[in-house]
Amino acid sequence: MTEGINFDLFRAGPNAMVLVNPTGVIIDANQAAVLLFQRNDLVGRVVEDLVPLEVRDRHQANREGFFSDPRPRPMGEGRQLSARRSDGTEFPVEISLCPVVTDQGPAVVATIVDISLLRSREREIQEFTGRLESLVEEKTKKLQEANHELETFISTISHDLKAPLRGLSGFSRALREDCGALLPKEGHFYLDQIEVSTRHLSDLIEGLLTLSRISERDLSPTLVDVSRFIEEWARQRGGESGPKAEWSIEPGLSCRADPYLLQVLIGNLLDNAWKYTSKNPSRRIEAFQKEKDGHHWICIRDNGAGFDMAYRNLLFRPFQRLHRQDEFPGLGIGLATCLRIAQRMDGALEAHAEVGKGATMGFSFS
Amino acid sequence: MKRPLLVVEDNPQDEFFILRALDALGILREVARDGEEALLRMLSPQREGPLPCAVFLDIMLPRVNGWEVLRQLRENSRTRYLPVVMFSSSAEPRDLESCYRLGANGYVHKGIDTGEFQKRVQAMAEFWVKTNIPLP
Repeated sequence: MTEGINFDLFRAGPNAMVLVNPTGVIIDANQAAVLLFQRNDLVGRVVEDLVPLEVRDRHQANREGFFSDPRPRPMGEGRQLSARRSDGTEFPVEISLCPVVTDQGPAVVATIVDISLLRSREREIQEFTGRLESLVEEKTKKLQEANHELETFISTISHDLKAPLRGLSGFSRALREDCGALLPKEGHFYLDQIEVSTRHLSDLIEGLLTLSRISERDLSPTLVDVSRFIEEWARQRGGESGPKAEWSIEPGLSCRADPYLLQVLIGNLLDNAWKYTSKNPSRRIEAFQKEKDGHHWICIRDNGAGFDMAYRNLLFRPFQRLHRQDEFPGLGIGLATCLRIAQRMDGALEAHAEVGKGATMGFSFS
Repeated sequence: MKRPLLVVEDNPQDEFFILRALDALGILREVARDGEEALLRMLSPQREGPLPCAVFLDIMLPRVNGWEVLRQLRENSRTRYLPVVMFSSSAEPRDLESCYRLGANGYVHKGIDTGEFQKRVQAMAEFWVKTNIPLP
């Protein structure tokens, strides 16, 4: 009776199918369609009886449009379609259309899939995602608050620590100035030691303050000329005692970042390169850029003391050091600060080194 | 009658360093040990003696802090133009900005190096006591 349509498949198909002629009359329907629309009287009806009332007129126009250019396609692409049962209830559907030729002329097979379950699952997922998002938001806010509290605490403590330290430093100074003549040589040595400790503690406090500023600071990223910053740094430190350094600074290094944080970061890396090459008579410090993992990295390489990569995990922890004070003095806060800065800028920091050969430190901001 | 410089400082050690620096310059000075005492000296109707020629005002003071003292001084027509230099352990730029925004005339960071600190105290005193000629 028909060309281009397998009626066995049509009748036995698990999905609802109706065969519709160009005037919109349903000329055949399978059992699945009867069940889906809950009506036995499908054949002979116009197909518009199966669509929601408010889209009836539009559906008729669309149907006429389809027959003027019949080709297989999904119906109502990009729109959410609904179908209507005999009792007037509506349910979400997906419909695909396929033109066929019957012995009565051209027609279309519409395959209708009830997607109520899919839609309700989608809604559940949306609700769940929404709940999850607000939960994450809430937890993040709490975490940020706790973090902020901690930073405020560190900054307050650090400022409060300055006062007694100023007393310690000031009175040992006054002792030397006012009573210096009465003190034996040992007395002056002891005063020197008090000053060394005072300076150490003072550096620690400044380090903690810098660390706490990283999270508190409002970032204002600008394009920073990194090459120029390093050149200026090298010029300032060049006059210090110790072996002369050979500098190799790639021209045109630049980075979009908060200038203060970037300067602290690069300053710390340079400080390290400078310190750990101080015992190398032919010290060399290089600054260069590279592309890796789709990111732009700026690196500082030195030929200094280096370190054992086995201890790499300790490198970025506050107050952890890989060298003895009598080898290379330090606080162990510089690289912890660098890591915090890299994290604040959504970036990364990496280190490679070999004992006695030097270290390369690199950072990249996203 | 010569007007003294008023130092408002609650930490006796810091007071020692400030006075030591001022005395080296031979500057007439007085001390108030908290914000209430400072306000009483300058704004109370029962106060005695002239207004100070300038105020060195610590920020972290018990009860009435330096910010509040500064605010009250700036609200009062008698002390609106009185030179006030704020003292703080903080070197945070935002604290410095707040000081000037609230009408301070100077800011001294009380660092750990007392030599440096005392030099700053003396520089401020030289300017506000000796160089600056108060408005009539």
